[in-house]
Amino acid sequence: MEVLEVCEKKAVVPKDLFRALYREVFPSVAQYIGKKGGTFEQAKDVFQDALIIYYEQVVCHEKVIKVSGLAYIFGVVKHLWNHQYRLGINYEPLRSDREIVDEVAGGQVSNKRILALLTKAGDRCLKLLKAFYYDKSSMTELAKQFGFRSEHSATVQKFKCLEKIRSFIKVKSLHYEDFIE
Amino acid sequence: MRTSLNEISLLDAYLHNELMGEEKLLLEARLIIEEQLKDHLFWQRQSYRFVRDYGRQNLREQLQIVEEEFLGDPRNETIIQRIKSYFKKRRFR
Repeated sequence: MEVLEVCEKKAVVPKDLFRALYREVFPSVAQYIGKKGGTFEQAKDVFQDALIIYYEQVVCHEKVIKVSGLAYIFGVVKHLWNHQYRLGINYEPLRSDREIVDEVAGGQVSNKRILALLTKAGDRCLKLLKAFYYDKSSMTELAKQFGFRSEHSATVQKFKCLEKIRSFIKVKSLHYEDFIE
Repeated sequence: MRTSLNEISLLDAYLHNELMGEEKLLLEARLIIEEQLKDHLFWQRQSYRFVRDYGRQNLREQLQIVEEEFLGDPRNETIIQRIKSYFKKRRFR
């Protein structure tokens, strides 16, 4: 698993990492899900979810794992599948655009709808915040990627974006709350 | 940085467990007294959730492309046939 070991150091573009993981890990995952009575579609869904967890925990957060990348992903797959399987639920993928229903001042808000609006209105800001908070890029990488002259400028812009997004979410959430009530 | 950005920076540190000791205690005391600060903290926490969901949405799109490339690559034909064979048996049960 030479490819996996190299990729865990985050020096490789994620797309290369994912290509390698599809080639080297997906066949075993598919075999496992097949044996458990799952479908090809379910195997693809479970594998994608496991890759998202692997990316967030190991690649970005640099969580130290005592096993190989393959063993980690396989463990996540088993957990995801057995958890759902034991509960007797058809496997539902981990959705990024799921309807997270949060209680906001007594009302309920559709985050999915707000995220769609946010993506249209503040795409550059979202990309910048995603690079920092989700992909865990450093301020140096951020400055380079978004064309800022210094890390300080990038930091200021990051907080300006956070202020903009925070205000947008609040306004839109309360707006939808008015419709719901 | 202007005052509002300093506040965002402070809440950012708090929400990421980067505030310690006196600084943390002071902010927690302010959060009890200052309604507006409490409100800002709530919406800032929500903002991080949206950023995470946006990140996942992007990542899933990227994974979808990689998956389609993998399954559509003629060089992978043998391995894909083998993968599909793991699921064929169920049809005849």
